[in-house]
Amino acid sequence: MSLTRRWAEMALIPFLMTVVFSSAHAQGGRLLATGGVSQFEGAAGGGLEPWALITGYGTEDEIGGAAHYTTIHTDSYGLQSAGVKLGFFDRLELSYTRQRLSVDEDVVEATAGALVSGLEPILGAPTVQTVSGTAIDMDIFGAKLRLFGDAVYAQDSWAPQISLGVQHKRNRDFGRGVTVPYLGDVGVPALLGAADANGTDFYLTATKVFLGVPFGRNLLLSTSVRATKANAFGLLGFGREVINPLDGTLLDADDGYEYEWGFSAAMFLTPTVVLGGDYRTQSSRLEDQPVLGLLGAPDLAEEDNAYDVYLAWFPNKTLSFVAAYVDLGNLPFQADSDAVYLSLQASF
Amino acid sequence: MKRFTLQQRPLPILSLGSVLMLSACGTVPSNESTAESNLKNYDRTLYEQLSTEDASLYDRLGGYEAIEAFVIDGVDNLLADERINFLFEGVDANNLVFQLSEQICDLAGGPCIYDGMSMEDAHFGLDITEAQFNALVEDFQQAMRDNDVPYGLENQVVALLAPMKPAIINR
Repeated sequence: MSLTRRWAEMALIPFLMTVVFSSAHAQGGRLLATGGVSQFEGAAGGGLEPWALITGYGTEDEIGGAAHYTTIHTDSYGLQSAGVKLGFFDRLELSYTRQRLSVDEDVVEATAGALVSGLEPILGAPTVQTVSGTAIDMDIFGAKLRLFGDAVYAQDSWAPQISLGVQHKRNRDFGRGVTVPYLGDVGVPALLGAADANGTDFYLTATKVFLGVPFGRNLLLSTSVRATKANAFGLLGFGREVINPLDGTLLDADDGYEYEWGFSAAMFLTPTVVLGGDYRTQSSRLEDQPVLGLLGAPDLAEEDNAYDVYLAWFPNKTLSFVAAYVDLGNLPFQADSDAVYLSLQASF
Repeated sequence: MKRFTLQQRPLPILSLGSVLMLSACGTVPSNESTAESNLKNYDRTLYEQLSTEDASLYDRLGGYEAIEAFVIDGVDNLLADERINFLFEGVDANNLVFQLSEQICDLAGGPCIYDGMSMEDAHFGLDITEAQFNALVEDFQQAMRDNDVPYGLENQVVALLAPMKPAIINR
């Protein structure tokens, strides 16, 4: 089955769930949009940032949930995300999301070209030729626990709603998927110097809604701090382990957690349209990579901070749409990965 | 209109209001400078703390008749709302309109002193859920839209009512 078709089918998930949710008369009792949309890793939030809010429309007495499909397309990369999540009693959120980073042929060819030009003087002409693009799939299992605070109703308090989250990510194409000269079948994350296929992020997020201000609008502000080993959100693996490909010796490694910060704002322009944006730092631990340096590109996998600006439309509690401009920063062989981001969510 | 310290949160203020407020209500003409200075003692919601509006929400809504007009529609909506109308069986709709109008007038800085029951007492034994509370909010949002209350003012009314939730639900 072609990849395109497989993803077209995943895009059907939110549509099908819309039908189920709207026919089940199980609509939750929270106010419109208070479950957020699905951030690209599958948690309730904005485009890139998780919020302290719990997904769906379930109140403290109810179970809510959502399904989403998101596609981001830049020149040489595509990032798709589809997932489901449940919110239990406005307290606990459990989510599963599959992400796919598709890498166009030109990026693979450029990588192969760099390898050949760097290694041909040493190893002679390569026997393996690269022909196709590749994809990196990742599973994300998320949980978010609301610790305390009431972002929406406690308008008599500055105290935000605070939640603790965890995202366990399993990169399914860490060490395979692309055929490159000299090395044969390798994975892009391993090739770029990542240490692990799997990693677990922990984050704290604080969210507050300001009803009626500024200009009579409802404004949501949110911030988060995340402890992570992820490279490019885990799409390029976790940690750093640079091995000399010629003799297998370890050149350097970095297996520690680093902090990444996020900031998010969203404002209702009308009762159903929200203008928002997210900013998220990245720790960039794959930069200055000595093996890639031999090929003349030590910062091939350097990470930039990512941001997005979006419009979200909530025509009702069952459906929401997001259209965004997103910049994921540097991706290998593409210095500016700015892109259009489209997302669809069904919720109850 | 003078408003004095109303620090008791969330809702005892509604019954304490009559004790704490000047009895001169309605006879003292509205004055921008005194209204502003009294807002310091009226710092209840984030909206009230952060708002830069000179005129009270009461005045911007258009006074008592404008409030009463959307409250009448809001009560009509909730009495027709199958999610919550059973909670209002046997309730005098005219009295409900009066009590709600007085509350909003009071909270919005108008010349009213809500001296009805506290929210805790008024909802005692009803075991109102959060979903039912939200259903009422939605009914009143719809009523304000039907009465052409600007969206910004609608949000500010909701901002004043939102902190009542803990006093109303699960009683």
